[in-house]
Amino acid sequence: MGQHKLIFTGPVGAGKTTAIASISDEPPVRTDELASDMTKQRKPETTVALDYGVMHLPGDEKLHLYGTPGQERFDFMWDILATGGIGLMILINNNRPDPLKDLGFFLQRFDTLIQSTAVGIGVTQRDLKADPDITQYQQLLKQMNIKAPVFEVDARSRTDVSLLVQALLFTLDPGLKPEMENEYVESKTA
Amino acid sequence: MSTEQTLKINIPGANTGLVNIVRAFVRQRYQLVENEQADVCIIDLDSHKADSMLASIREQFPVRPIIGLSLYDIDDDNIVHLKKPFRPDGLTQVLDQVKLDLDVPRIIVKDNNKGSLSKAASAVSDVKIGKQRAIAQNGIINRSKTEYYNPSDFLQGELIKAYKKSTGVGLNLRLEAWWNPIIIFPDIRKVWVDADDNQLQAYCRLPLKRFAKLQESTEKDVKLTPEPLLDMKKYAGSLQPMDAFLWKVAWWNAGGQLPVEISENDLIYLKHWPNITRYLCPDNVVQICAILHQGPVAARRIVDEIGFDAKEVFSLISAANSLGLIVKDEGKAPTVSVDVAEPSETVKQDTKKRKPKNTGLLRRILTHISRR
Repeated sequence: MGQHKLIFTGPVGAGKTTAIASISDEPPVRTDELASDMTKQRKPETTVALDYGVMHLPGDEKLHLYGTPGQERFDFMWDILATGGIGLMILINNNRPDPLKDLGFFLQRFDTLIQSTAVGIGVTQRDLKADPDITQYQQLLKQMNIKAPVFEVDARSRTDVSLLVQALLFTLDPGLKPEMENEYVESKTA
Repeated sequence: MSTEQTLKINIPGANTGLVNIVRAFVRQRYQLVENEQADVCIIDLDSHKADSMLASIREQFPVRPIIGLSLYDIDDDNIVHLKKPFRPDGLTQVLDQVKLDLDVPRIIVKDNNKGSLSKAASAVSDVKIGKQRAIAQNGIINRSKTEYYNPSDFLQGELIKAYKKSTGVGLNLRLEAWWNPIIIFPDIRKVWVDADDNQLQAYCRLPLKRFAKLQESTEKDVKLTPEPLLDMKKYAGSLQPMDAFLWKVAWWNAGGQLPVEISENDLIYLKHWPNITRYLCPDNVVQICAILHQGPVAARRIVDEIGFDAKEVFSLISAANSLGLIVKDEGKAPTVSVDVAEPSETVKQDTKKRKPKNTGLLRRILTHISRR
């Protein structure tokens, strides 16, 4: 029975919990608490340990979806969660004071995982604040010599989150082909 | 017609032998029916009644595709020719192609005082019917010849010029090209047009000059004029992001062709990923973008080696090119591999990346997330 991990990270209020919920096969486990620090100015509850969702793959395999806590004081959790991940999803809240700086921070912080796998970047809340636009994120990635998909994302939209995950998978292997119907059924019943 | 529906075939005037042969060849995949219910007709053009049957079918069902069987070459663009003797796979390939063409959503354009658009839609139908031909010779579908279009002949070219001008001077502009006005708001990076996507798609199928002729217009040029902003509320609800609008216009203008400035064998790559969650995004867009983003590759190679529909690949390249995302390789960057069977060594450019060891897992995740 294979156990695998996909990591969601990003600052407070970026939509990590929501994104995991939108693609998880089971209701996600959440560890929200009332925020007691600066975070409460942004949202009343925040993730203090981790978010957890799961995708049930054929053959009893599981893809565990872990969301890191957004607050930096819990960053000791990040390395533990990220170890062995198949890839990284960074969600950036465009409505924060300096979202480009946020992205730079998370790219550097998870550099080891990114270098060995791949990263997909979702920009949320662009309806609330349009700047910076997606091109500016692309420019930052170019400066940092990182090739990654960056999409505008509504974390509540399964389609948006799914497209970002697919882009991550194809970045890992552009020649990937979905399993055929009979393959999928056979492996599911194996 | 949805892809799940069975294609219904009629073989008017055929002898029992031909009917039995066709029935045996297409068993379980297609259905033989009476003339009235058929989606497509198969006619033996060598039979003595062929001409009268052809005339009768065309009179009764003017848009129904016709597959003509003949020992000889035929000179009729409105018939899909299958040369005799044909093999079972030849017949099924032709039928598959006809079904595919029928599956393309029909463009329905209401008149709504837009008479020119209705004419345009009719013209689009004519173009489409013409393009269904020349599918098969000797029962083998030829690799389609790459076709090119000139964006300057279509809305795409005028839109790009208007975008540049509008953003350059920071002025709202109204673009009129023998159709509904398109208003560009550079400050908020949005456009407004009073039409839905079906209408826009129909308009995008033809070069602008054709619209001028259809309307018998005395105007020779596209008009680009300042748009006084009276009340922004008037436009609310129908505003679309400029880049997403141009992307889909270019996709539809291309109609499965490459822009003239990009040859099918040019090594090209994507400067960066398009924002595809907000763009027209058919099934394989994500994967084609990933291939083009890895490094230089020829459009023809993506079609031949990965096996994607050439029209989809070429339309995507056209759309990305309209946004300035396609870069032609100047021989500096290495080329990429697009192998399918094995985990690809795609990222020669980025030597730090490992060859994926877990392709099976990635495939299962992809299947799972695409399926739900």
